[in-house]
Amino acid sequence: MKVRDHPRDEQWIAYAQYSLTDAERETLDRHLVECTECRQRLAGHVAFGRRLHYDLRADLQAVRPSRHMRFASVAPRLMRTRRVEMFRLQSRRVVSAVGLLAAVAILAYALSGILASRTSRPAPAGTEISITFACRDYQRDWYQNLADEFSKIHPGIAVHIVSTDEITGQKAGSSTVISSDDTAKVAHAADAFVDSPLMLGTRPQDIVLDLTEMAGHDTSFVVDDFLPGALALFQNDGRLWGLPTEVHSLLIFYNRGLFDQAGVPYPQIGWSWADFMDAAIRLTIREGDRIKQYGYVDPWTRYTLPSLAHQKAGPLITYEHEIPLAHLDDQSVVGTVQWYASLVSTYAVMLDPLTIEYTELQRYPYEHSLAMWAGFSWDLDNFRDTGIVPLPEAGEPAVPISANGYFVSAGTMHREAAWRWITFLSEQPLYRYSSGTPARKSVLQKTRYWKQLDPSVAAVLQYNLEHAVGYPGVIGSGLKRAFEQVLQGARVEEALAEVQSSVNDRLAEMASETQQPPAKFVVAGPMPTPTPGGTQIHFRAPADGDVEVYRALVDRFHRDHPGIAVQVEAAPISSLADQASAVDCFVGYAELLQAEEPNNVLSLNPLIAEDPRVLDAFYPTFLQRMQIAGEIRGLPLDADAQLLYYSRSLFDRLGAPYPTGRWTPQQLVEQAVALTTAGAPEPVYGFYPRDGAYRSAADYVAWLGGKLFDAANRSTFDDPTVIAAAKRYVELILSGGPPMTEERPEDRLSGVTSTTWGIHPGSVAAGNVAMWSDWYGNHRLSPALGFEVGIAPLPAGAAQLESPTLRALFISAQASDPQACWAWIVFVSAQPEASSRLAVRRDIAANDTWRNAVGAETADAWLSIQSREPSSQSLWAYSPTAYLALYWFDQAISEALSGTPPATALAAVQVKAAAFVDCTIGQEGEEAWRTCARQADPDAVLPAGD
Amino acid sequence: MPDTDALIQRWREGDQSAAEALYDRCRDSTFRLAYGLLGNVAEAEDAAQDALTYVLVHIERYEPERAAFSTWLHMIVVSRCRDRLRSRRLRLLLWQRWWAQEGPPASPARPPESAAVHAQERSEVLLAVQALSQPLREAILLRFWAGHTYQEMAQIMGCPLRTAQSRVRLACQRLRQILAWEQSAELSRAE
Repeated sequence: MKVRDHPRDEQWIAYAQYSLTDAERETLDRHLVECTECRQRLAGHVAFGRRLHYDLRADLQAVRPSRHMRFASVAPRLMRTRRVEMFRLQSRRVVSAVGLLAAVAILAYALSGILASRTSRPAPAGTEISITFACRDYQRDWYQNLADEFSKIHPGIAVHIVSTDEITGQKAGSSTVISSDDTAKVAHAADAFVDSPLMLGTRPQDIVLDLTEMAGHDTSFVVDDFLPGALALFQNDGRLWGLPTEVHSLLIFYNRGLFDQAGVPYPQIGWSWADFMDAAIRLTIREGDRIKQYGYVDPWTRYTLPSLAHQKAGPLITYEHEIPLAHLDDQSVVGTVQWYASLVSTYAVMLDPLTIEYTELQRYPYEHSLAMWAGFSWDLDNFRDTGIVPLPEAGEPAVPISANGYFVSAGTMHREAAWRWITFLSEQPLYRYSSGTPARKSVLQKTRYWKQLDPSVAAVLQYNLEHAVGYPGVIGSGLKRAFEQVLQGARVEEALAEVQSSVNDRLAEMASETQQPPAKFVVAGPMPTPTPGGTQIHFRAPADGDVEVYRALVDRFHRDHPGIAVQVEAAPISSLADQASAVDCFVGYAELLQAEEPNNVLSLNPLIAEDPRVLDAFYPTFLQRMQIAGEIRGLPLDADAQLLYYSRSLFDRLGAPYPTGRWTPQQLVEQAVALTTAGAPEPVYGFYPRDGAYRSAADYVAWLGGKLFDAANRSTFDDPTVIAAAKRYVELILSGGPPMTEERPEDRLSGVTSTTWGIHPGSVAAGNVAMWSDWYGNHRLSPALGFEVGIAPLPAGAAQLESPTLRALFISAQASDPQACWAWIVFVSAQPEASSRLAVRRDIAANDTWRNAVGAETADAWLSIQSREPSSQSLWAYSPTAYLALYWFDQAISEALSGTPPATALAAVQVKAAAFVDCTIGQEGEEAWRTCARQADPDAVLPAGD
Repeated sequence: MPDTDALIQRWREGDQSAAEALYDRCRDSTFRLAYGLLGNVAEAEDAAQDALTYVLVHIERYEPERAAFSTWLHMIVVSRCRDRLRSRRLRLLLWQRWWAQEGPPASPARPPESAAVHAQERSEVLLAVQALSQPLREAILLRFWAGHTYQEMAQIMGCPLRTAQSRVRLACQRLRQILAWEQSAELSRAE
């Protein structure tokens, strides 16, 4: 090789990354000896590799999993599945040792173990009452063992353990917590459950049972056995709403190393505010104007402030004639807030909470070197080498605590049984991986809890629990608000006077809300178990629907099919493959059949062949969408589609006739333009498309008669029909619609972003839009509008603008009993209650239950759409590459809406779109599509690649 | 500190504390690899948790004579991340309009204290790596972050040795383009 024949860069990269053969390397070595330029190039590649190595290490070193990713989260699942795995392995060994018979027995045992872990156990023979108890999925084994113990003591009561993750649709094992809305869901599904009292809100009577009377009549129930502060968290206005099981307290964590370095003595129990201030000042490190290390950070001011204020002022709430009164304007409270604010504004030893996002503040102690920070005892495991001490004191100590405990649902039919169960639970040791302190003295003693802790930790926790106080959240948030106002420059007295007034209003409101009668509901009974010799199937319902509807259907189904027990679980709808691998049958999106491997779900043809009449009631258009290569893969369940909504008030005011299903698209455009009075003092706009001007432009242009693709799915964006339709669309938006102020720039990029689900667009909500399109599902979900709304079908156009999305019932290809699943999904598909959206069967569309559920106008509009000729095509008919070519069409519409003549804009993009589609012919996969897009249009902005 | 092999052996014999120790030892690195591949903390946690659970449950399947434990673990992590990326790609390419109409699945709220690692600032290099295609991203992370040999990378990625090598080479080329890395500028800085 001559010196001027330099090796290519990729060879030098390979050299730098040691991926050459010896021979190749030798060749390059010889070249290097003679070529200074290549030595420099190689040095560059080596340096680049080094930079990658160091930067990646530094970047990834900086990310850490949350504290919820820990062994305790997987341990129960691990132990359970490991036992099954051990059985499986043993069974293999047995097969070789003693033959098939023994193996079958062991496998059957292992299988029964799996089933037992997935489902509630059947009630012991002879039991009279069954109650359900909800806990997190990973705790099920723990509580199942306790339920077994309980049934021995109370043979008349069987406890079925259910999962809050399933009830609320959370992913099992995820690190998410149950929200307060979910608590109500859990209370509707289980007789008793474990949760935090904070989740009960201000009307606990709507969720949980008032236990005061039962506790009073139960002679074996000893109130004094509970840590007083813990029990107080479950009491409200003298009523008892639950029983605590574990408590956590607020404390100060301190970094021993930093204290040692600064020569500051470790804080001790009983330390004063002055000690605290002194330590914070000495441990704050500054570099010029910058704080390099804060002496103190408080992510929990809503808890620390009531505690500190209580120390100075005594109880912050008193009761006069049973009405609670807060005393936040007390001079001692004023002094407390002033002092705490001085840590930030005067001494600059505490991180200013206003300079940082709340979530960042929460994670600050995990990511920064800090001398001291406020935190709860649940973090002890995360800061094992860190010292802890109670909050500093300036009077009678007062320590905020939080707790978890057991509740009985307000809808239970088995109060006594549920009460016995939760009192039994409260007497048990804590769940093995709990990081809390038992709330009952007898449990503390029985488990020798304090003796198992490090003595210094035990001393702090004991001290805290002896001085626990609990305040309603409104006190903490009020003080926090005042504190933040002071940091922004407000006078302390004024800030506290302001929150004092609002806090007292809220306290009075809460006291009055607690007196209101409870909401009435009934907890569904436990899921049925199959008769001997019967079968059990698992069905997954959508988490966003009402899973109780399905549970009620199970009861009805079970009466007619006693041999089939259906276990219902709720989870967000995911891919067909995911769902098919998790359960026997499920609700999924029909559209995914086109995108996924259809064999994940069962072909229903053989089952249908036994009784083809089951299909008679379905609208054919939806059945067609369930077919892949002649195989029907699911039964349609319900649909969502766009309808035309209009303001009756505006139409009445303007004397215009209401829209009807007989309108043409052109009539809608004309009416929209005619109704628009954009410059008037109270402007009226004719029409607003649900997703804004850009996102569904292609759908509207097709609907208005634009033929976007030819028979071979090649783009025809410069076709005269497209140009004419695009002109009409631009006229509709610019002359018949509101200003495009609600549009976001990113909406122009092929509709990647979504409009917010669950709200009306601003101009619609404001009441100055005469007509708008919306999805039925969104309209139902969104807040009621302040004017009378009419509903009509969108006019029939050249393409189907309403584009219904379809949910269907599927049977997994791995279903344990396809016949049983088939019986169940045939049953479900025929029930009006299961169809929570638009009906896909004639019988349901005519059924009063369904009509009442969706409303007569919606039902009539939907029937009108279904009665149309099925000739209008849907955009769903496009191929994936045609669909992607709409990217360029959207660009043209964007240009046209900015003033470029549609013909000009469309002609420009047609060249690129056609080049893209041509390039993709015969090619498959994302990489090929990306390459083609870049070739057709080097300026194309493609979605980030995976 | 007991070595990994000793922990594996103890866990195989049923010692749960060994499983916990193994988990703790591998937790951060498993999460970081998943984060590098997925670029999303919540998804990375789920994928890492799945992988660690799989590895601990199926510890009998680990054959030390065939691969180092880290190679086996990383193979599972890569596989779990690929599953997640596959489902993401599907959404991205075909259903973006439809998901938008339907509304994205509600993202569950995390407790404040667990938000500890969200929105981590990513450097230019990590962002560039995450902009690579999936196979190239795997190659870069396994080579430059995890320090695997090409042989191990081929095992983890399930590809021939030469493919692993060419992926590293291609990834370096792409990264240099993305980062507009000027060799001369870097050299002068190094001096």
